[in-house]
Amino acid sequence: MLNWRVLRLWLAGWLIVLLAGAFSPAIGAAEPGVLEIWDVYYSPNRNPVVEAAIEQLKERYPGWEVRRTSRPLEDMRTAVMAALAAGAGPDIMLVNNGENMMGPMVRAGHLVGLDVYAEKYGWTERLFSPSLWNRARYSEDGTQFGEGVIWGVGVDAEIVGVYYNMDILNALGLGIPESLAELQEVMEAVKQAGYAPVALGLLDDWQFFHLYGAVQHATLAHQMGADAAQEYLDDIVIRGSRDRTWLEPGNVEAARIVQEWAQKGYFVDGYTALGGDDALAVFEAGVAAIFIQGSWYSSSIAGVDFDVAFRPFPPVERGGELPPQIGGMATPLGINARSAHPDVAAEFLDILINSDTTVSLQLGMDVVPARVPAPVELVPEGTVYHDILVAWNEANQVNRVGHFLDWTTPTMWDTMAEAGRELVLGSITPEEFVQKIEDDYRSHAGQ
Amino acid sequence: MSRHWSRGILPYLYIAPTVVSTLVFVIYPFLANFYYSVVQWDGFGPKRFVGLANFAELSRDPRFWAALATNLIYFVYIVVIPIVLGLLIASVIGRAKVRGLRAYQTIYFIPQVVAPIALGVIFRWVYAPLFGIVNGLLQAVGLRHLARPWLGAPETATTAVGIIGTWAWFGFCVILFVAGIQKIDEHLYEAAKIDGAGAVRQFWHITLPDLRFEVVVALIMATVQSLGGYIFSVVRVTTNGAYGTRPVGLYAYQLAFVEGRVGYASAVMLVLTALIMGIAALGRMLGEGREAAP
Repeated sequence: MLNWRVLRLWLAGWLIVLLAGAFSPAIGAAEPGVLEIWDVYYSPNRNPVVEAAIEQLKERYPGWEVRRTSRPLEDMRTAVMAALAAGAGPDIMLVNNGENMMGPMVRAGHLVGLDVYAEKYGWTERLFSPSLWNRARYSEDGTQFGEGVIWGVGVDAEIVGVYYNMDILNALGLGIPESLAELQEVMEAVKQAGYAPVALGLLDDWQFFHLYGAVQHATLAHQMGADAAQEYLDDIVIRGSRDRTWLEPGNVEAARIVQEWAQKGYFVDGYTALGGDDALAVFEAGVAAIFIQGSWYSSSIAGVDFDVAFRPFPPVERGGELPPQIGGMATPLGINARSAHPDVAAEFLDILINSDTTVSLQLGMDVVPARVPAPVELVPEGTVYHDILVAWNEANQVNRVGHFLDWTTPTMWDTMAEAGRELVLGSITPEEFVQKIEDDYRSHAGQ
Repeated sequence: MSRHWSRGILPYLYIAPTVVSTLVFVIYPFLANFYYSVVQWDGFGPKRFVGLANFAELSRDPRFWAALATNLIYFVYIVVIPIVLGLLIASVIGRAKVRGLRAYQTIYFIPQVVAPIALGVIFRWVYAPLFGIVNGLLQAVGLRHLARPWLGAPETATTAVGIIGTWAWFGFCVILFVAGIQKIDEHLYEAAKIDGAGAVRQFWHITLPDLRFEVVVALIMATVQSLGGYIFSVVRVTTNGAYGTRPVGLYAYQLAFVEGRVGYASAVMLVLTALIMGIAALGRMLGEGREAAP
């Protein structure tokens, strides 16, 4: 009854299929699968990059399905938490830096280490500067931030600097300040001329963080040297070093300067009740001369009908070294340890962050690419975006991309927001402000 | 047989959607919250049982007590003031023949159907320091010196947010109390008048006792909002908790989703839930007299 010839052919067929699978160069290429992505890149100037990367992946892997969900950061963080707790989750997902997500996720074993892929695709050579990569690193056991394995990658970058309304500066015969002292002279001259010197929206906590941080990075660089300031900031913000303290003269001096600016009326009227977007609107209305904020506003600011320049925050003294400039990689993505296709996921990440298509799209939408140096020669000179890429390249070239200070401890956001408002409103002294930050830092340092 | 069976099962089928949704969206989250409140959990890793340690920490957490004190201020603005004002207005218009009463009722009720997020956005514009209606009106009537960033100063921000709640809940109380007053037998007032009772005595001895049930309804509903999701949404949009405006719910959110302390945040929310349930139970006790009345 049994047809041995048919059986032999059937077995031979299976053997060929199995061997072909074993020696297949691309995992999953022979068997179409599903790649699921949960990201936060839904904004109009980021979404096309992700969509283009998905199309490229589908071209490389015919038959593969890519399911993408994109939501605001806080919603997505909650979704990731719920999914991982239920033993599920996508292949690629949001992994916000630091203790907000990355640390706990590493400790819980939810992530795939990306060092192998970083080496395979040359990420660390082509993208970001070394100090920036440290912000995506945690020790293998997830206890030490800032060193060890890479667990996430950001699709683009951001830098905080100073936007100047050049129409106001030119009308008053003022040049772009090259030192902190000159910046304050410009503020005074602008105020005397009846303009608002600085657009600020203190209702959003992070507006204070960036303002104080920019000044503090400069005063620390003046106190201890620019590279030492970068090292100090790396230690204090990402490594949580017990040997460091916030009670440094540079930190107090920065607090004194910010408080003095408030007392001298350098901030736009009603700034305590304005949010970040309100402050942007004030700057874009042409009533304020200076806006100390991030590159994420550049595409909006590029649309104003007056001349705008963007520069790194200046050193304390003219001719001084470039201080560290606050910046970072955009909210990173990582690979789920439960993913059935980690290699395909990594290949997708490479297309997303490292491909020429991505860089080309980013250049067309005023987004700072992850690639360093950013190809500034492809961008028209005299535009805000050109200025931003120049500043970004400059900071990366000397490895001085500074830090978002709220990362320092899990409670620093709350502490610095409250203390910052008290400082600006004059209800505490600069020394008391720094002491509050130090107390928070000391309660977490080295843990 | 089958008709008998369907008669037996049918009532359960009718209530099944409600039972299932209550189990999934109310009972399970409540029980889960109880469980999370006795563990230490960062939201991603393993949970570690800590017994009542979270509650012990809560008792000495100044941020929690500050948030609770803020909630009590909101309680005054969202519960006490609307009920008192509502009673006064309703007692004046409840028995009078007011032309266009339905139109007034509709207007009063509009804030109730506006989502708190939208209310927050609207009032952020109303209070805006540069182009807001409040400062604009003050300037228009020559009180420019009183204009200020209402949401941007510790001395005014909580009041400014609280007034949003008063505005939203006052109309609800008026409508509820007017409906209650219109059900009171007019003969009671006539008899009281014959006995020489003035308007104040009529209010204390007839209107208020007979409105007890409506007051309790308003008290429970507004209390839940002054401590729970309603005030959370309004504050999140207007100040995001700056200048001492943060209620307990927003503090719990900060703990769970910024600081990664889900267990402790659950303990905070459990205490808030207990507080809401306590006030609701108190309200029910006060209202039982009216419910038991024939």
